[in-house]
Amino acid sequence: MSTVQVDTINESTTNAGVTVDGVLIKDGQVDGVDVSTLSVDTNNLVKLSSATASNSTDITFDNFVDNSVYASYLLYIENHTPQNNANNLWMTFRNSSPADFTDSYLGAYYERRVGAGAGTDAEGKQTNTNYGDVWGGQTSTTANTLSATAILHMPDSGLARLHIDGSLKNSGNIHMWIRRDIITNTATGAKGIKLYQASGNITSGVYTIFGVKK
Amino acid sequence: MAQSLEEIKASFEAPTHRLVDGVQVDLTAEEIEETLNMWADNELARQLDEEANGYKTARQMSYPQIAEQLDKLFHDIDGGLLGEDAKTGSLYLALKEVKDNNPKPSE
Repeated sequence: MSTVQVDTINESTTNAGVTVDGVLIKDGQVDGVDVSTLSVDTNNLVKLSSATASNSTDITFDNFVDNSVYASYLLYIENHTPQNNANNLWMTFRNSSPADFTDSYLGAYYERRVGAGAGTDAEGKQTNTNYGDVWGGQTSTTANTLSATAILHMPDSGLARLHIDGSLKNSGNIHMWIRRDIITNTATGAKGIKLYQASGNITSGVYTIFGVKK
Repeated sequence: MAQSLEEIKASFEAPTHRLVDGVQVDLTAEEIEETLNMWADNELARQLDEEANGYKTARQMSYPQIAEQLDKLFHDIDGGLLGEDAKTGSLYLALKEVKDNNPKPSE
């Protein structure tokens, strides 16, 4: 075994970079990844699945849960736009079959409203049969889309939870910052999730599931 | 007034597909019918709820913030509209203390 001991290794062929045992190092990137931007958080996030809605009835991610590898999951919602005005975005957790969880979904929310005629802020709680009420009264106008991040806790033998934080403009053109927490009442061992409108399609939006490594 | 279930159902375009793990899954004729019926049921329920309870949301959206409501109450008390005795109440005294400790620059 021998060792190369030098201060600098430069590429020989212009713009070809330097390859070490199959790994390309080039222009500050390692195999195309800008390592200067990496942090503990980004290293621990693993993209599991994504979907782009186009007049779709629902967005479903099945059997992405692997609690031997991941501590929790993140759902990024970008520019969610419903087809119909002022109807609600709902969700259900999914079992391994895969099928919707039939259970009571307990929800609590806090809404901060901004804009002319916004009125008072709102908070409340609700129980829904076989679905969780994620968001209400969103306008179908594409300029007023919902963007949010949800933390999903889906333990193998515990209740499933969704904690979402995001903002939108509602059908009254009021800017709303909303936090909602939804938990199943008795159902455990969720393996997936489904998002859908109470009525009408989801016109557009990008949805990405990440696993947060232990 | 809420529409009939038939009117609501007729207002929807027939759905075509779901997205499962990012992959488009076309709906069967039976699933399309089930989805249209579910949408119609949910929309009818929404319309009926709006008829019965919409005023609650409208009022909530129109009320001033709580701090502003309390400030109006304070000034009504301060103006004697609720009687001079109201100025001895704990609400008035608590708000008066805050105002006195943080006067407007012009005061």
